[in-house]
Amino acid sequence: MTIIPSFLLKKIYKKGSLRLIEEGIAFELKNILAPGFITGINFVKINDTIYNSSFIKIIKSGVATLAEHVSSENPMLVKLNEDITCILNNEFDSGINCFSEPAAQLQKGINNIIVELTSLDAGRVQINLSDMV
Amino acid sequence: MIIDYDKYSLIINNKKVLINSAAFHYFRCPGIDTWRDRLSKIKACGYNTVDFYFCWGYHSHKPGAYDFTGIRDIRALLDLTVELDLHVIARPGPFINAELSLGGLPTWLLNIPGMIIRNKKDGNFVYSKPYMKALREWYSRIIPIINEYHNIIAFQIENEYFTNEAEPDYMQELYDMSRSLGIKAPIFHNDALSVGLYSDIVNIYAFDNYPTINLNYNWKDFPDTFGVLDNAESNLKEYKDDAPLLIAELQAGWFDRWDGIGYEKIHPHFEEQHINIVTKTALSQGITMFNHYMGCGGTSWDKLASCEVYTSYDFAAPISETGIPRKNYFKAKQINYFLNSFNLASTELIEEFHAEVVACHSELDSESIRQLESVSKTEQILKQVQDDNSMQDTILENENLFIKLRKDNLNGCKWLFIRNFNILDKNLNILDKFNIKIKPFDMKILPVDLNLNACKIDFSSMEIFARVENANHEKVFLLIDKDSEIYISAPLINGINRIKSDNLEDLSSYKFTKDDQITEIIFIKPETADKTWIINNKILTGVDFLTDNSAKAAFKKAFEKEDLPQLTNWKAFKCSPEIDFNYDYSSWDVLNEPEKFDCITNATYDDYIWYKGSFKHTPDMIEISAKHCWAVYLNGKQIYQHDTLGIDHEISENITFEINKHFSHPTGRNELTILVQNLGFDKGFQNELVAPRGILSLKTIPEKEIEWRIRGGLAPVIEEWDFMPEDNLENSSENAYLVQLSANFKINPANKKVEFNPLLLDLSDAKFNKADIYLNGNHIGRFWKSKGPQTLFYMPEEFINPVNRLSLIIWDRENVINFNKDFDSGQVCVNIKIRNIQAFELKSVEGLNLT
Repeated sequence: MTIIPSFLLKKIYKKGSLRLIEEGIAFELKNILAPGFITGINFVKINDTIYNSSFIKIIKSGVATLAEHVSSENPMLVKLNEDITCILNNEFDSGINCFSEPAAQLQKGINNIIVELTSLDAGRVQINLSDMV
Repeated sequence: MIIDYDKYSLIINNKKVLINSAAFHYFRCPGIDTWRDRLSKIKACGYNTVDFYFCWGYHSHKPGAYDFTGIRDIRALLDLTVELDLHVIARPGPFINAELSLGGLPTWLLNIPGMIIRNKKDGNFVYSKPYMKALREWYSRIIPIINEYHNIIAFQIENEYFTNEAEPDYMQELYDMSRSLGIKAPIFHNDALSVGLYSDIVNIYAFDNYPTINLNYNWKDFPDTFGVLDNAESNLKEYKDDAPLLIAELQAGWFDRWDGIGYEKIHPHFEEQHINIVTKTALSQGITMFNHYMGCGGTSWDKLASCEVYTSYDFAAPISETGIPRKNYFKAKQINYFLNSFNLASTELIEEFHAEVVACHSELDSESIRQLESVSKTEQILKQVQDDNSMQDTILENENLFIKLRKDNLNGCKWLFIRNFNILDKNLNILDKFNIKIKPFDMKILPVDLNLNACKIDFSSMEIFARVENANHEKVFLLIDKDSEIYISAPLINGINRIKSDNLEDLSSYKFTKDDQITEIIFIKPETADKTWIINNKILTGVDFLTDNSAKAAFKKAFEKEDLPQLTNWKAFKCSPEIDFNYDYSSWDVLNEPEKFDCITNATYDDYIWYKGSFKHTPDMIEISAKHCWAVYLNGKQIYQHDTLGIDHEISENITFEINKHFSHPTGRNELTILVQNLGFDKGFQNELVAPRGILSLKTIPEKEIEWRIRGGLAPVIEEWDFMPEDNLENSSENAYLVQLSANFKINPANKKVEFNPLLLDLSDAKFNKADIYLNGNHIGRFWKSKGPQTLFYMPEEFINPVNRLSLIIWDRENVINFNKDFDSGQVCVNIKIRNIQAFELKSVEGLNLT
């Protein structure tokens, strides 16, 4: 259980931001709650595909970070009202392909999204969303 | 008292009032004398309001039964607030959190069929008629008492409540119930998430603000620490535009927990800089109602504590658990005195003004030079941006500077709020003409165009400490700060209009006259200000603190050994006969449901719960899950022990262990005894409230039919062994008993009138790992050396008599044999002492020189 109610978690997600870009799948989050530390971006699930932290890139204040580098030893400070772009792909810097399937895809219409991260203040937080493409 | 409000502030009896409040837990500071002392210190600190949680579970131990007498006499508590001329914020829950077991709710709720506490299950809203009926009972008992008092300025319903979809039903019903029971004051709810929850139901929107809760990090390393406060006016005011914002809990400290870092390491996070910044940042947002949480530390005695926290709830608060003011108290006093001198109940943000960072001139070490180089680069960028005419707050924020200017509608002046979140001094030019040097991690509120009776302060980079006015003589105290100055407009004396702080002596003054008015500006060093008090518009200096409604002044005493009572006449009792084979437990209860051992099913809410059962032939193994500390005894001998302490939904340990058959009884008839100590229920903020204690599951392998019986409580507590003859029990058995260790000490009651000398039990060098501490039969602490970190236990004055019995019930499961040897050789008691922090001499203020 997280202390943050689900209706609020949904507000963190910028509706309509889900899209395909050259690097993969992208979407936007905005910290509307309070300044805080993210200590882990555990996974993102789009429909039936799970992207673990090796395959998630975070862009914040113009700086890109691989999610696997975010940890309790190396937490990510997210300011109030700060925007975060998440980019998912099965090939990032390592060049390792995490799936046997082809590159990241979205389906037309409703896509279901689950983002799970760990925050110092709120513990494990799972955000269940859907967005149209 | 007529209470109204507008968009700026509360309006009490037609006067706009800024509410500066301190939170006080009466249940953690038992006794009317202690209430009087702590509330007097809150008042002397300049607070005009005190905030009380009213704790349902503390007053009600069974349905329909309520105790508002003795240490639970809240009329006596509220009478004191009237005597001290304090307003009251009343917060009767029903849930209050406060790191209390079950969030302050009574345990009997857990046994009402169909009960869904707080109408909330797994985060979802589920309306529960039994719950609403029970809480109506609480409200119908507590609200009529609250209604007897006319100094209640705000009333809170629920606390930190939210559900997954934020349904309004429960909050609306609480609001309507409160009004129907006669609550007249504005009603608020405290939103823990600062997102506007339930703001359309209440009169005033209130929120928690705890910028610093992860103490593994230093808040100074993160310029965004105060981000929510920095944006409160723009982000939160819109939730209730016609009413003032209330910070129902503005961080003045933080609690420690089992396995925590200890209050010695928490204090440095919350000394004067933190409370200074949170409070002044709040004021910079036009906030006119705040409540420092906590204003005063306390003790989670008896069964108050949630499982998360140990006994001390010192909170690093301005007034310590023992009642001694500390650094953040004196900083709060500076701010409160200023607020009491100039009413900031109605201010407006001025969007456009000039502020410019200018060159630094500091003596620097190499690290600072490195930092400065990086700062200088930023300044160059700043300058460029400034040339582009886009210089504003955002840019200063990049410099880790925070600046706001507010117009004061009541005092006809402006106030400059400035914060430096850098490791170096910062020099600024403000409003095109005034220079300020601001120290690292400092924040100031500075007057601009402030008209006094006989002169005008154009600007001062020294802050105002206080103003006192008697007849035509106004005294304004300014805090001397290095490299600061004050600009004063004519009419002048001595032709001076700019006074630099470097030339100022402590308590030096300048007098100005205009018509028949005199304004005396007195410059005071902060350390002198700490010892300066205003009592009924008179000034008293050189005093460490005031108590007894400012009738008594305290002065530090030099340490004298005779100030400390000696523990004498040590005795020991083996105090767990329940462990013994053949102990008669036929009067214990049979489990309410077979295989259901937990405290809720069996309605057994003691912190210690015994289980006992007999059987033929010894099983091979036992599989058990229990909360929190437990031991299993076979025929009187300890065969296993374990602790399960952690967040309930994350920790669910099933332990399986083999039974040592060495202790099986030759007749084939055997007894298992299990003792489980729980450290309280969860507080219910982050986790589910309803989480059972005691044995959660138990089975023998192979399974045997055992008729288990259950009983709560330890024999010495139930049977009041404190009053039994003081004979040592014989050491005739090697059974792993709990041991009660007792000693006496005496206090001279006459000292109480002439000194303030809080006493603590020092177990720093104790030879045992775990004990419960009783003072004259009152449970005052849980000592657990290996889980720590608390080793000093405050002895609440309410429980101290002229002649006293101190008892420790020691459960040394890890070290049974050595403990017995240590005790026999007298080693157990030798390191247990009573000590103090500091003794103060109390003198009547009447006999002191007030000017």
